[in-house]
Amino acid sequence: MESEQPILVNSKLERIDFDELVERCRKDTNRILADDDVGIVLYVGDLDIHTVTGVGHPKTGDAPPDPNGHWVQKVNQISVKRFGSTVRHQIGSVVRTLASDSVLVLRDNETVRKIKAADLKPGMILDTGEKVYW
Amino acid sequence: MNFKNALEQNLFEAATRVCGANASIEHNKTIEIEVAITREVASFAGPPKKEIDVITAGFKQSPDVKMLISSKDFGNSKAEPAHVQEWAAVVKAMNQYSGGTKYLGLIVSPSSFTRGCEPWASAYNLGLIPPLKGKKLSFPLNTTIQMFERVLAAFDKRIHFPHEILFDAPHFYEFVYNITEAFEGRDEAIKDSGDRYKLLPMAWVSSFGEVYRTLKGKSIQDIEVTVAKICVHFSDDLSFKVAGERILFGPDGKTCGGQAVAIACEKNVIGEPCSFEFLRNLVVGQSVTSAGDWGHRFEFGLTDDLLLAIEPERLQVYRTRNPPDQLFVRWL
Repeated sequence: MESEQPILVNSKLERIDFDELVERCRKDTNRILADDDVGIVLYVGDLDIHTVTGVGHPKTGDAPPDPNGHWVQKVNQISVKRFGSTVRHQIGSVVRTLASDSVLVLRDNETVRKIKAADLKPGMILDTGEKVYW
Repeated sequence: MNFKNALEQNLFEAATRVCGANASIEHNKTIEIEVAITREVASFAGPPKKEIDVITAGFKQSPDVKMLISSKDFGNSKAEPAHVQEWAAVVKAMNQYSGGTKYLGLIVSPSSFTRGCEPWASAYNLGLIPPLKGKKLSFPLNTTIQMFERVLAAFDKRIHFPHEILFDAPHFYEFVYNITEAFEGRDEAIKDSGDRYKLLPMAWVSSFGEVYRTLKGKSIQDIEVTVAKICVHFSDDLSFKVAGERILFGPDGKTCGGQAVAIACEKNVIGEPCSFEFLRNLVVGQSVTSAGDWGHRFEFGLTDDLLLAIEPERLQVYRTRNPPDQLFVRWL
């Protein structure tokens, strides 16, 4: 599971340990939406959990106000798969670990199209405006 | 109760397992569309009325929330946008005449959907099972039923928290997608390694990678051999069990089960006979540093340069050394 654990922070940008978060969620079993041979899905909408995104705003693609900064996005649900290979790509200024079958949306001239993370190539531009470097 | 096909029966049984008496099925239910000229009802055979077969899932926590499930058994053909549009109209009609109950729509088609279905489903906030991903995918019936049951069970828990947003497109569509999209990796793992690895205590399908991640750094506490299996007990109450060709591992206490029996034990790389106690004394207290699976033989690399090999009928231990020409230290 470790290799696919997302990087999580709270609103003060303090790192949150995923295993501790799971244990915290287990105290209220309704938060564990699924926990089976496929993986685990947690509802964390009210637990002040955020994730760091790439350079572009997740929806608009705008750069963050701080030139060296990143957008931080609130997380409602965390899904960690027990299977599925991972791939590493630098997207924007962030190196991300993605499940190889994660679906991303590419900007292709004036249109958008879907692509799996395993098929990302350097130079591609996501719909968020972020460039795939490698 | 009569069912139109096996898919419908399987879906209803799955809905009953999750929702109990709040799951129901109706055949030839007549719904009436208030405005028969909207484009979503273009596929209706006879607006403003339509007969539908519907499985309804209700939830104890929120009696005013129900899921309307459409079962599409088209053999090898995929469901098309018209089917999604039709169900969008059904859900819309049910919401219009519900008197307070809020309906969400779900379409299950084991043969999958054509690409044009996704924009309709996301625009009308309908869940699709199986999920449409970056390439065309279809799943076996039992996987589709597992996806469906996972969605219902997850939704049953999700509605304990603020959930109004799920009624706004495309959030329910995305919720269903997120709950179901990981099945592809699991099915591929089963294809690769069959039934060999099982994660205890639930005996979930697992992989070699998960065996190693679970036991890496854990120290051996004991080894037991019974008529049923070979059990290696690790720290943190983890176990590793070999039962024929199957490997079971994970948190499972220190039980092995069955009557203790003797097993052939060997030392050194050339396989000289040794006692079980000799082998046990060497490996107990050592931690896992690496692992390898040769199909019939599972090997643990241990601290102190030890290697413990486990076969269904044999145990072997030897010490590894570098450089290669001095690789093995021989015990006398």
